[in-house]
Amino acid sequence: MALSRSAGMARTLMDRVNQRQESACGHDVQLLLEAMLFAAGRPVTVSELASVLDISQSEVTSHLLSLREVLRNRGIRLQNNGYEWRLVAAPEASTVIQRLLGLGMPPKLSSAAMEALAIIAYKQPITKGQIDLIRGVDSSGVINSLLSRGLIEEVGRAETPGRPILYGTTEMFLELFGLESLDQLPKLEDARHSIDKLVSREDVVL
Amino acid sequence: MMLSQIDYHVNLVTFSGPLDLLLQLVERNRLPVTELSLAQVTDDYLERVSHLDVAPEEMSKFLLIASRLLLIKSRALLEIPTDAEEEGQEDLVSQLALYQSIKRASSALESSFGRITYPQMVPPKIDLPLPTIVQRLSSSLLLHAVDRLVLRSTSRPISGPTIAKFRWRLRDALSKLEQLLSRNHTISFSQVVATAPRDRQFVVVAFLAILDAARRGLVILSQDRPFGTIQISRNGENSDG
Repeated sequence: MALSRSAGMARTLMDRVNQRQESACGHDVQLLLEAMLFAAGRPVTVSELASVLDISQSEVTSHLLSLREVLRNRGIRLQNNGYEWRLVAAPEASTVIQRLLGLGMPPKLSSAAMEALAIIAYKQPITKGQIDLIRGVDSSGVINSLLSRGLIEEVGRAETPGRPILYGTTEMFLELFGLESLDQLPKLEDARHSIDKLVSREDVVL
Repeated sequence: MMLSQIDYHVNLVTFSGPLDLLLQLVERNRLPVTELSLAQVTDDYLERVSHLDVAPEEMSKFLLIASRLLLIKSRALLEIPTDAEEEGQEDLVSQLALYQSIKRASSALESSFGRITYPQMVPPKIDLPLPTIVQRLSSSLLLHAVDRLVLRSTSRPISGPTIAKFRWRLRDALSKLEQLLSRNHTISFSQVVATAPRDRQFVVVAFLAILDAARRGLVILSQDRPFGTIQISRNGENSDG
């Protein structure tokens, strides 16, 4: 099944390569996108790219997605935080980049902070109250430390009494965990499903 | 003493709350998260909690879980069939199951901590507009100009600066700002300035006005890069009142 799936992916990739469009000025759009993102050196929105290239936003997005696949064999990756795209170094190279530029490893997160960060990453946007409910403890301290490390941010307010703050993860979060986008988060195991499996297999005695 | 026995008696000291403690007890016994397994670890849990030394408000959370566990255990012992609609036990099982899946995801995520995708180390670019005449000047021309300036300033008496009278008051700019924001949720600073075209004084007063409004929490300011457009949006909280 895995094989046929990867074959399928390769085919869609080939299709995309064959479909590479030329922009109004006669150049390969994918090439232009890569060049623009490199030169910008900052996150760029799809609408910015679309207006410069004079093509639709959905076209830009599909070209970005194929560029992202092409770059997976390279030292740079295309990172997308939901609304902006940027070129970043491949996560496998982080150690050698640190050595080259004399960068230190960022301090580790406490297990409580990791827990809260995981909850926010998977369930965003989420309020502090909901985080507390999942963890069974007060999370003010860890939320503040995640905020100050720039890993989460306020993304709005819930339309519930008191209009509590909604939290979401930041670009820094993707950066620190080597993710191209939130889709790359390790799959959240369906706890209920695994329980059913375990129960049917094991006889639990009191 | 056998190693396995020692392992069995090791005390669990690190847990981040009642759910974490409960999950550790369940997992240590290699049990799935079910009502029956919760009933099994109830005694263990109560034992841990009785030796806990935590603040009263923390303790209340441990005791709340303890009471739910006792309910589950008593139901299991009395063999009362599970009524899914009843609150309490179903609740704790699904809560713990969700917590367990988050814990697993959290440790999977933690293993990729530090695999950093470094962005380009580009210093923020600041475009200071230079008059074209300055760009064409050579260093010798500049030196010459400075020489002349020095000569001129020493040969002439220095006159004091003149302070122009301000035609605009802060509240004028604030009311203009309010007017604009009553029609649009978000406006740009240049839109505010455009209400009094070609008036430098107004630019200054308008800038003070948006700072003042931001300080009082009436608006939220944002600017995505140096010298970029300043966006002014109504602060949602206060617009209701």
